[in-house]
Amino acid sequence: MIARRRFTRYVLPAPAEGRARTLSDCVVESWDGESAVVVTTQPALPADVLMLQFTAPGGAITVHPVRVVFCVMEPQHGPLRFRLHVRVTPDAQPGPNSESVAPS
Amino acid sequence: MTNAVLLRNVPLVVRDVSSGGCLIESRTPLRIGSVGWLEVEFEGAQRFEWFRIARVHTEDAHTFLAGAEFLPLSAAGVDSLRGAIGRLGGSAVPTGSDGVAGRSSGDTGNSEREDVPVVAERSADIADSSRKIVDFVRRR
Repeated sequence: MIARRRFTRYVLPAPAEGRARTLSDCVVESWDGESAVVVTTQPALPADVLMLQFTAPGGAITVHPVRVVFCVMEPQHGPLRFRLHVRVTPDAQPGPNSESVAPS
Repeated sequence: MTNAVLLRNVPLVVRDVSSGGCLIESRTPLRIGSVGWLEVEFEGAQRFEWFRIARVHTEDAHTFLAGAEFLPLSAAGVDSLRGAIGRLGGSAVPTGSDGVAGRSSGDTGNSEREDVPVVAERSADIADSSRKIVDFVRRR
């Protein structure tokens, strides 16, 4: 396995702290400015804080911090999908599996 | 119905890194195939990189290790993590690390990265099972 590596790997003497921002497509089934129902391939836990990003036809991007109210699995055939019920939370506090985020 | 994107911020630590990928540890499981944007402090500066999760390993009930492959979507800039690692190629101080078990950095070797100035490994270095440590404190 080692001989297959193409690049030298460096071990950090102290782990470097950072963050990852993962992206997943979703379909917004409903949106009233305060809450939304979205269908996505990524499951979530209640109280998880996510960001819901819309791109307008003109290219303008709006980002809304949301908190997951509950998540249910889509009982339909095809790829595994989840329906997330979320609520906009401008003052979102970190959930058990995410950190507080601010619109960028 | 309309399309949108869901973004999730995941706090993490980077355990090891190469110019092709890194091994990250998080309290939140990352799914294989997930794509995202990595921000990490490296050599005293914030570095950024697009990545894709190549594999995931559960260390314990609350700790997850993920091998991330960097996505060379553009030339490595000054704030690029893979660029910073590439520049280390010839100057890093290799040190044995017997106390740390080897793990994949997530580099599958499938992506071309000719834009990254990487010093080729010698066969002796590749065969050596001990990994190398960068002394970040000394380089700041």
